[in-house]
Amino acid sequence: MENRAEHFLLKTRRLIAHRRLLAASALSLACLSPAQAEEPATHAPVQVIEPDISPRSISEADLDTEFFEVGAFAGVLSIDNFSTEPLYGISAAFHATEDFFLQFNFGMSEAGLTSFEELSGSNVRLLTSEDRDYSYYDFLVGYNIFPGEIFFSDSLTFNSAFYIVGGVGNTEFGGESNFTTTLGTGFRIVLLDWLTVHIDFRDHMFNSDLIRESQLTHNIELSSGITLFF
Amino acid sequence: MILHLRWTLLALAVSATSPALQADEQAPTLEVADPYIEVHTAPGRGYPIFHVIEKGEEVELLKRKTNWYKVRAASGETGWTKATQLGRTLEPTGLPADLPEIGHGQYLESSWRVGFTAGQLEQSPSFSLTVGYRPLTWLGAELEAGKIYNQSVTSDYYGANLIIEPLHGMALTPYALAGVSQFSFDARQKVLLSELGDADGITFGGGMGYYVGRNFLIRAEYRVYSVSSNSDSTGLNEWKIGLNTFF
Repeated sequence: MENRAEHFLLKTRRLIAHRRLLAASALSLACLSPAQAEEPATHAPVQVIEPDISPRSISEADLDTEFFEVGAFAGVLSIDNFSTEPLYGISAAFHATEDFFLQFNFGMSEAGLTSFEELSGSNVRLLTSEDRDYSYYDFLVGYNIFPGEIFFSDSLTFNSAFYIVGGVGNTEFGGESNFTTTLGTGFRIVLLDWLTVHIDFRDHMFNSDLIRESQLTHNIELSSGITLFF
Repeated sequence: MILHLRWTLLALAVSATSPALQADEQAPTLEVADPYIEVHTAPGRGYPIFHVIEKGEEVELLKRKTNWYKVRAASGETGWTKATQLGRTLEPTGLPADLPEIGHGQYLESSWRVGFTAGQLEQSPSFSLTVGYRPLTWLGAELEAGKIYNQSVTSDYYGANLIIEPLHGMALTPYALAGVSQFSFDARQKVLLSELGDADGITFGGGMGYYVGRNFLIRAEYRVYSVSSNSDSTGLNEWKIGLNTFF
């Protein structure tokens, strides 16, 4: 990389020095040197007066960068062995490269009744109402696997991406903390440089012995939300 | 700068006049050094190239999104170009702009990083959130907060680590870490275990980092904790995979 830049600079310098020499000799009406014949006719005209631009360095801080994304989402969560309930949450993401991003999510829901409780009548309850609160947070890595464009109309197109996510987190449910593995897919439409809308499908998996012997529960989330870039 | 000076000196020798034309720019402007740079419709490698800006022309930098820069050509076209192409572009002074792909030690100096890890401490799954700062090219500090899920006990832990990464030329880089940590325990079956005390630990570890572009790091790490509580000392091993981004 440096070699390439140096090479370029040296080459340009040599070329310029050569051209200057030619220009100077032409102005002073000196006799034609044999070197002048070597100059290709396609060269741009010699720039005798160089505009004096004050040196100025550029750092990335001078630029408006759009790495961070924050948003809110809502959807439904199907809690394994319980019912499917509304889900609300917030998310934050950092887009590191065009392919990868890191995402943090926090979501809340509340479990309903198991079918056993439904059938047994109102005096049979496996969990207190407080223990039915379901909340989770997770850290996910995402990969934009199918970036593309969608065409709403002849003049209206939006960039989009189909992405996959996976990661780890914590689920509080039934008064217990559970190590949770999350896998999912999603689709994002970039409405504006700073505004996106997305729809997500996620499976939150954790081992639970809440109402029977320890088993891996699959808690399926289907949600949609908007995010802002800044 | 040297090149620029020479231009000016030569111009003086020839014309004896050197009018100072001050450039008046809004956005940072660069001169293209590559034979051409490609301008895409959107920040992604697959989006179509609709314009090229040739060597010697100027580009205005408008914004950055991941590893793409939004640029405006002198002729007015606005599009996205890859960071690596702009890295070879020249500043008005004639020197390469401060954007090329250099060793990560240099560009990460005084940068912040956030990330998370997932791991296994002995037989128990764990995860942690990490926030770090790198004051020097080869040295960084990191704060960590995590959870460990034992069958009978859930543990919260907090740690502070120093990370030493002496090599920073390659994408794959070894590092060493040393730090302190504190654990607090919460029994899953409250009936069986009553009050559990806190424990302090010393951490030593090392691993390999893999840098994906300039902002993304994947880490594989092995750690040994020496945890002491109630004048007992226990050694614990942990494997970790970490993902980090820099800004």
